[in-house]
Amino acid sequence: MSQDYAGVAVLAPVTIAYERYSDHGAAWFIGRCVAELLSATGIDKAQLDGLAVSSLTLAPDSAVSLSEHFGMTLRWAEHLPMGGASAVVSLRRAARAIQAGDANVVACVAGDTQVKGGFQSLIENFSRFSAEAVYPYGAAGPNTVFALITRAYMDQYGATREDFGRLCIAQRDNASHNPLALLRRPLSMQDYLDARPVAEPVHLYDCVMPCAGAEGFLVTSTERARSLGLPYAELLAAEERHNAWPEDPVQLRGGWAQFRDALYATAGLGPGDMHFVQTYDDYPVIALQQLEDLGFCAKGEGPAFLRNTDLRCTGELPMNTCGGQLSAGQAGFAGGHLGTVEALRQLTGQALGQQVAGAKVGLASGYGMVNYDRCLCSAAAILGAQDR
Amino acid sequence: MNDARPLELQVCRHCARVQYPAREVCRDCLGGELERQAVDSAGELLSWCRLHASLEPWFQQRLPWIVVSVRLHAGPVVLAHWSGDEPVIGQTVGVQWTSDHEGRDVLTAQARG
Ligand SMILES: [Zn+2]
Repeated sequence: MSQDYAGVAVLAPVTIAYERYSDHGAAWFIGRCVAELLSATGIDKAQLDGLAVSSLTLAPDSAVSLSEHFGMTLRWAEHLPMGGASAVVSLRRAARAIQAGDANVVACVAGDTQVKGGFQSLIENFSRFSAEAVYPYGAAGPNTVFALITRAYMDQYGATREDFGRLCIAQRDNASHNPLALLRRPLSMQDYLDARPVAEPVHLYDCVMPCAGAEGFLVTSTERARSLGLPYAELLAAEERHNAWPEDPVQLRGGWAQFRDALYATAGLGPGDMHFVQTYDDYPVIALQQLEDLGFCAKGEGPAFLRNTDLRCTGELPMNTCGGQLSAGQAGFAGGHLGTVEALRQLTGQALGQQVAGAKVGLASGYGMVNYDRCLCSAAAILGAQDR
Repeated sequence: MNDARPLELQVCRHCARVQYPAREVCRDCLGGELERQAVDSAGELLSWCRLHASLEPWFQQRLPWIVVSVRLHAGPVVLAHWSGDEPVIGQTVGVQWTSDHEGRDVLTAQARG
């Protein structure tokens, strides 16, 4: 078992409001997020000595370029190419830096812009494997890969479109309370089922809306957070896996199933103790796999679990309590930070939308980088309120 | 899709593992000598999708478009264009190289009895 994360404080959930398209560059969203992190905490820019950045549209710049752009001298910098797993991974890296004394205050930020017509070149050149072995097959981006996974999952475990619809509808209900969500209008099962097909069996409401925006949080010591009088959450456990289960012909499980036992053992808690879960929901089938692989139900029982479990903020297992990416939008790699930032909001009583009553511990999960026929990075963190 | 050619993929000279997509080194032994060789062109259909949207005009004019994933008996999982009636998960298919509208080498699969 890994060493614990004692003494680490996670604080200052910040979202830079999402826009469908923007003329600003990624550095604008990341820079404005850093500014908000500082103003929300009263920490001076000169005191911020660590920066972890994740972005799809910042290239060719990186966390290093941003130190100059933002006029910051850093003791510690990380640039994470892990897409939707970057939030949890940057949190793990930052937590160890705090424990080791390599940094005092670390900002973990993901931000991206979205320019009209810019999506195609990003998709076409996402990875060497996908440029050669996915893009030429219809030029439909990740929809192709996830439609293949969705159909294989439906065939293997008997899931129906209605099952995925239940997940999307519950998340839309959560989003209806979040003023920053791009999609807030209630979604009915009929709306869901009648939506236009995109890559059958994937239809419109199974897809996220790409947008511009940023998400970020700070990591420091509990001692420093207390001395500043700032509300924080503690990191109880975190794990990551890359290229888990490489011999599975179709990705019907992720790395979560490999580290779940270690994750809960480190936290001294089980899935039944979680007051909410923030899954990575680029497509509903992936969120459902996380519920299975993280032990909320057995493998293959996800569809039945959705029929019997209310995922709304007031339900038995509140999931993606700000609406998730399916309703809030996917601001590039910031989509992976959305869940961690929302978990932090819930645990520090700062929900933008509905507050989950009595939320003291929760799980945030990440998933990223579709290199060929699946995403390679899985990660998850269990966070606890300071007065739990 | 035309100009069908037999299925050749990279094979490791050291451990004989068949590779796809093309690599610089072997995914098993990390050997650096990979040679294109003829491999068994049959496989099992793992999944399929019917595209109704594409980023490229050539496909946009031909929607809906079916793409399949196949686990070759030779080992790798490949994505391929589909030729024929609606696919069925688990069916045996054959895969070969073809040239697409841009002259790229692409894989095409169809039912095999
Ligand atoms: Zn080899």
